[in-house]
Amino acid sequence: MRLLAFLLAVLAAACTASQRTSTAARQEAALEANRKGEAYVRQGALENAARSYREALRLSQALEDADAIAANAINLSIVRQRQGRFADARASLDAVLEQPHLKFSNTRLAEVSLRRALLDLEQKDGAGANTWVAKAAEHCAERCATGAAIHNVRAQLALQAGRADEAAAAARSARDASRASGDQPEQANALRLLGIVGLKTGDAESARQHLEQALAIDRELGAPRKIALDLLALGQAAALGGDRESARAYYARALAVSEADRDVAAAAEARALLAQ
Amino acid sequence: MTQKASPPRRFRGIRKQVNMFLLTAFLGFGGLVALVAYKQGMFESHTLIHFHAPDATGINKGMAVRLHGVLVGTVKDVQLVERGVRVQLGIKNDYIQRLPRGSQARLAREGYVGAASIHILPGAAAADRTPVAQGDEIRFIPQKGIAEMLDEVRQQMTPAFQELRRVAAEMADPESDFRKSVTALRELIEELPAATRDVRQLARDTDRAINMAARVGAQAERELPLISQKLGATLDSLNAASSQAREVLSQAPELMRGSGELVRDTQELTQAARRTWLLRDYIEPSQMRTLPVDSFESYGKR
Repeated sequence: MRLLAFLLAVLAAACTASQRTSTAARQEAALEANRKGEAYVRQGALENAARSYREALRLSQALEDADAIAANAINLSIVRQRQGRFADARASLDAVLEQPHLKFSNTRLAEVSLRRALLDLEQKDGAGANTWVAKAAEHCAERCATGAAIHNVRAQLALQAGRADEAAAAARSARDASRASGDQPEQANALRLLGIVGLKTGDAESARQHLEQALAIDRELGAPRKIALDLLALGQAAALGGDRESARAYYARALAVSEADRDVAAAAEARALLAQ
Repeated sequence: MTQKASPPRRFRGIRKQVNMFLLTAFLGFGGLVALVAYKQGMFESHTLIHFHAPDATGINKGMAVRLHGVLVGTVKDVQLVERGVRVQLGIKNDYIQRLPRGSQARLAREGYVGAASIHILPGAAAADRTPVAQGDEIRFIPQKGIAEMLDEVRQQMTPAFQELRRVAAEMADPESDFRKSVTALRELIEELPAATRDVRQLARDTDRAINMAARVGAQAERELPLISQKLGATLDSLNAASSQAREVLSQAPELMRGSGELVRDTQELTQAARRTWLLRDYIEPSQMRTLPVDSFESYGKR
């Protein structure tokens, strides 16, 4: 009897070990695909990145690994948004938003909702963006990693709606939150937004100060697109202060940076401002 | 009344004159005959030899007999015998020493339309070298006729014609190596103009490169003293570094062997540890990386 019990225990242990091995292999494969996607994004090969993230998402879904599903869904939505494929970007987020039976963390749900808000924001769907940013804030509760980003999106929505005071308040909240959490990219975003609010309100000096701080952080982070945005805004601040020469110098610098970064939109804006 | 008639004065002594004329003419004729006889060898002693021939076509009595082109005798007689004809040659004794017993006779012509003569061929070196004697027989080499010569030529040419026919058949066969080679050659020739253009372009490029190299060379020549000075200093540094590196490298193989084994051992230990049930639940798995959710992702695109 004892011998039979021992044999059953050994068999159960063997089955468990085999299952663990298979699961680990699939997780490894999903991680590998995730790493490849990240590498492709760095290289600017967006289609390859989307393929890798889709594979990582499929492998994660096969294991019902909620956190991995959310991570790869967010990544895929970012890549698709950069490709201009908004429907695909939304569809990738559905892997989280349309799965009520899977338990996702609040942080992941906040990130996914924020991503959805950003998609609506780019497509000028202010109502939809407000709805999703409210959901993100709801998932985020008091403090979370995306808190500063949520405030910055709110500030952008307010700016889009022409509510400069509300935008400034949200941007200041974002600045404070990002400083508290050490989120430098979002801190730079908040400072840039404060600068833009200054431009909207005609406060050239305030705009210049905030934008120079944002530029310093963006240079440190090595974000060319943000650097170009900062320089364009600094040029506008200089123009607002009556310094046309400095403004043209900022625009020229923005043009050089955006051309080097192959940022067509920023380059076109810089050329338009130089032509004025 | 009888009166004796006297001969006219102009016929006096005519008998004597006629006799002198006739004597002179006789002597002249006799001298001429003697000269001809001398020229014909009447006064030379001859050795008679002979040969047998299947037929005497082209051989006549009195025909010249030559040795290396020199007249050494004549055909004295041509007689019909059972074996064909027997031709007797009279060879001047002055030349008999040069005619060995192994000599052969051959009917030949001086050119295609010249006079025919009997040519004596002294014979091979291995043959009997003693001179021919009176009554000896030498061998006759019959002259080949046109038909025989044509037959001989045909026999010699037949293999060549057969080979030519085989080559022609091979050339006509589309699957033959020759036709394939010709096709390949034609394609090659068709590609020649493009290749020529490429070669010309290459030549132009090379010319440009050479010009550039010449300019670089001139510049290098100007800067060579400075470079050589720096190079000297660099080489000194390298020399010092290499002596130090040599000392380090002398220890490197042992070090590398040791480190390789250490790495392998470490990997095996780590893998074993990760597989151990006591530890595997405490090792954090690698995390999925998420791209930063940037609030400015949409800004500037609107």
